[in-house]
Amino acid sequence: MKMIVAIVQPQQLPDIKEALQSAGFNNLTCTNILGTVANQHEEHKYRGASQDITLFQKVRLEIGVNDDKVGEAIDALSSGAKESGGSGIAFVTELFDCVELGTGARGVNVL
Amino acid sequence: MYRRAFIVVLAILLSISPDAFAQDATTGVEAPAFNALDTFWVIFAAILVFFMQAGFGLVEAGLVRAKNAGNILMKNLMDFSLASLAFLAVGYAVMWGQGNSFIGTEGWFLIGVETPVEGVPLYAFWLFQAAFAGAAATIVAGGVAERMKFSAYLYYSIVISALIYPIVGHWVWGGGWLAELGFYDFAGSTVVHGVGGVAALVGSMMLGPRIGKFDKNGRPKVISGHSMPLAALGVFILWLGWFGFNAGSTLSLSDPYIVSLIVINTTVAAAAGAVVAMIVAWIKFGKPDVSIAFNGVLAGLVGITAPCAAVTPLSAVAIGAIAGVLVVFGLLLLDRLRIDDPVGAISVHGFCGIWGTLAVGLWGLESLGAPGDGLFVGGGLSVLGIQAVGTIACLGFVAATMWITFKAIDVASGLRVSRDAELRGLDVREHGMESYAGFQIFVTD
Repeated sequence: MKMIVAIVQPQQLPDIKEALQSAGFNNLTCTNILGTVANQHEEHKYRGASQDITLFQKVRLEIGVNDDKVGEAIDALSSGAKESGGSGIAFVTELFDCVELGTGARGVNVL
Repeated sequence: MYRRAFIVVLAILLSISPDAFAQDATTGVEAPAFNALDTFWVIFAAILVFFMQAGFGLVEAGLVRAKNAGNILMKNLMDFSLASLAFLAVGYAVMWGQGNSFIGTEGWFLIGVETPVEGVPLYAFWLFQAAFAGAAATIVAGGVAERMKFSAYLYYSIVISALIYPIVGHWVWGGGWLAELGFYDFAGSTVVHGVGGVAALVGSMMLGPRIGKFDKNGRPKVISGHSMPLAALGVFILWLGWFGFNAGSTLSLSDPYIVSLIVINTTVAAAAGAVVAMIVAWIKFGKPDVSIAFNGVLAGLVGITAPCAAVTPLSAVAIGAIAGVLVVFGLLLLDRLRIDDPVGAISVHGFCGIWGTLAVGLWGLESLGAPGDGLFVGGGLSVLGIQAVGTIACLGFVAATMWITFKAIDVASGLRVSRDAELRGLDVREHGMESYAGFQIFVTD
């Protein structure tokens, strides 16, 4: 099993969510985060003083998938990202186990 | 380049001689005696109407996204500040100066003009009128919110308060051709709210909808306001200020009956608008929508603004109730036409402003000062007809002149912010700062 972590811009969320849901992935977790972007910074000014801003709003998506579905999930994320501006990164990490609390089901049956 | 502009502006300001204000006719030997109570009344009402700017600011800020809150508050502050200065320099003369049926031509910088209100000094009357001009100007900020360039909005504020609003005001109140025709708009359903609403409509259409407002199939998507508490407080402040807006338009306390009639009409119309808008939304959408109920208050208030001195309180309830229906269907109509109105300015001020003006022809009573009895109270269609003519004339004029104004601004400096700025937020891109520094603003969809 794999945990796919994707980091995208906030305005990409609707398209990516739709792409994932169309491909059958309905267990999505979103978190609001701040992140740096290469070569991107802003100057904020407040009452005469300046501040260099390098952290920008992003959204972190997490989906747990079975190994045979990883390709489909990545494809769905890619098409959603392209639909909405074309940026973002996905990390695929190993998932040792997962448990459905309440029923006790474990492993590949859960995802 | 900015230093040169600064020096030019400084030179202009220094060349305005302070002596120019010393020869005011209203403090000369021939001045009539002033009535202290009436003067207090006009100033008090002016202050209430002025405070409506806080109401507008809070409603607009609350109903837009947090990343744009500071920008809309700046637009609100600046349109009032620029309107005050433009109305001092040019607008008052255009609206109230001696001239012809179309426009006033005397009284620039308030020089050489006398108070048109017996017993009330010019400057007090000016303050009351300037507050009205500011109200008309600030309505537009809501309709064009979240995507109009700040500089474009500044230029627009000067034009509407120096020329467009005062010309309409001259026609209706300043002795112009609509006054001669018998058109009646007691406190400004058309002159202030209709003007603001139509200007907002033109601006919104020319800008186009916000990014993400309509999906691929043209269906509207939710872009929620970030603070219902701010919006709610704003509506109550507007309701409070409206007592000055409507009752203060008597410009005198010599007739306590009419002043009292106006305040009861104002409140019951607002209440009816709130309740009916809530019920309509509850039926149509399944839930009592908070922001629609608050828009309903404003709809009732706008609707009663023209007829407030000439109808009975029960008629005021009917007028407010129908405004509550109109505002909900107005929102739906604009969505269907793919016109994006972030705070409901067009529905509240435009549609209900027209309604209030026409309502004079339905329930107005000649015994209370209407030009004739309305259709539902024993009269015929003549008042309604004149109200319709005046409404079409004023709002057609505003639509045309605002189209020209926004077009000129677009050509000269651009009307809409860049896509990147719209996504990042106008607070950061236009003003270089965040209104909610230290907060993490959540994306919810």
